[in-house]
Amino acid sequence: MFDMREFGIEIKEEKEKFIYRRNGTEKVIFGKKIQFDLFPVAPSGISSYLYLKLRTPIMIQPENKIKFRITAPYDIEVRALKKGKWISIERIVTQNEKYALYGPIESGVLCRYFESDIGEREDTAILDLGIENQTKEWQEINKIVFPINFDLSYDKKVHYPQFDLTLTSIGLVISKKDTLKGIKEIEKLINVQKKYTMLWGY
Amino acid sequence: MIDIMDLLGSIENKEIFGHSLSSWILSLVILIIGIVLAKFFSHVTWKWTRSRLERHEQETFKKIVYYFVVIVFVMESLNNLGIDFSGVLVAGGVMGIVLGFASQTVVSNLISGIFMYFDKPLKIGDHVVIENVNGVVMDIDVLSTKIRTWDGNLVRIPNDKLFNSIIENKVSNEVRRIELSVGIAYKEDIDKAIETIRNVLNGHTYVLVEPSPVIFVNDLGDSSVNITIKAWSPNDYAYQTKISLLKLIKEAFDREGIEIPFPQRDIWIRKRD
Repeated sequence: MFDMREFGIEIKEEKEKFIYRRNGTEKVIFGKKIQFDLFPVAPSGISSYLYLKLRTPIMIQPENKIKFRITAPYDIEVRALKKGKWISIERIVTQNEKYALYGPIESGVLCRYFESDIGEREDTAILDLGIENQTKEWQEINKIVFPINFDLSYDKKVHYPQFDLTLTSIGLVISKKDTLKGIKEIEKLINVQKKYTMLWGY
Repeated sequence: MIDIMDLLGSIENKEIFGHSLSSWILSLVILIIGIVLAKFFSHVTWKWTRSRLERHEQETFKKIVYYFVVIVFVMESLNNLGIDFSGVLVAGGVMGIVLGFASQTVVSNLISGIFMYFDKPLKIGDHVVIENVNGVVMDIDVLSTKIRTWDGNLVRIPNDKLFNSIIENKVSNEVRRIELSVGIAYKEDIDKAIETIRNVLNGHTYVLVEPSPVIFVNDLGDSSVNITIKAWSPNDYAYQTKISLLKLIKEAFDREGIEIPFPQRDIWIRKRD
């Protein structure tokens, strides 16, 4: 799906070693018959949360369920693989890397920030959302924040796991469904926190 | 063989301060074993608490174990020399008063250390500013706290002084605000300058989108219109962000042809008619 030349990656094989080069980065990987591949990964950077700001806010009527798709960012990880074991060589940022604080200064969480559109875009991943408004009021959603504790999957496009959002009187509760069926799963989900509640507005 | 027996006999018979040399040697051996065991147990404690406690709590716990084992073996060592601790305790009543007066500062430091342990104004690894001392907390002891300043010096601050000081903890939150000031010439378009600065901030990875940066004219100076920039950055990247922003803003102003003026003074010379 991803072409190494597109990212300016050059891998040269020499005697019992490989030399990896990209944009001034150079690494030497010792070993024989090593496979190099590119994988889409969740864009964590220096934070472990993702903040998706919806360019177009969404309104949802009381006690109603909706489903829709938004754009989301991903990074590319260059990995060296041998006999099922791998090591990350480099992480390439594909979208503008920005951060934002979600919540108050003294207790908020630092998040990787991205402005999402409703629908799909060529250069971004797909995030399918199911939203249920359990309250008796109209609700408006401007942003979605969740911990990055999952892996992405891909076929022709990069996919996030499906998220279910429940609007309750406490806040917006986000829970994640399993990886989509029929799409290549990179590795098992690790350190899964089942639910995350957005306490400081949405 | 006979020589060794003679040597042992002479050790047994030789007296120093009213105790046989063998008793002194045995006490010394007990003391050494005690110190070795104290180090071993404190190391085991440190490993065991590594994933269970915060670093500063881990260090404190380790020290408590170390000193407890050392004290037990010191007492055993002195006991071996015939020093009776019940007598020491009785004498301690009188001595306590004497020592109490003599060690006021030590006790004050100790109590402050205990209060600070619960108050937690700082922990090991924090970037702090305590009065004129700016650096990273290296160790929090029962009596003092050690700070490594940014120029590499180690500063020891007694806990009672620390307890009464204003402590500025720079890393208690995930983000920190940085403040910059740049001056532009009076002839320049202020809106264009602000827009140029905003573009620099938007393009910088570690300038947070939220809370959003604030850019405004703060002062009409003698030689320049002074613009203040207040932007938030992740704590660990705040310093490097501040440094890089000044350079990037200067470069952006150069590209846009916005002048940063030198201080200047016009002198009018009046001519006599």
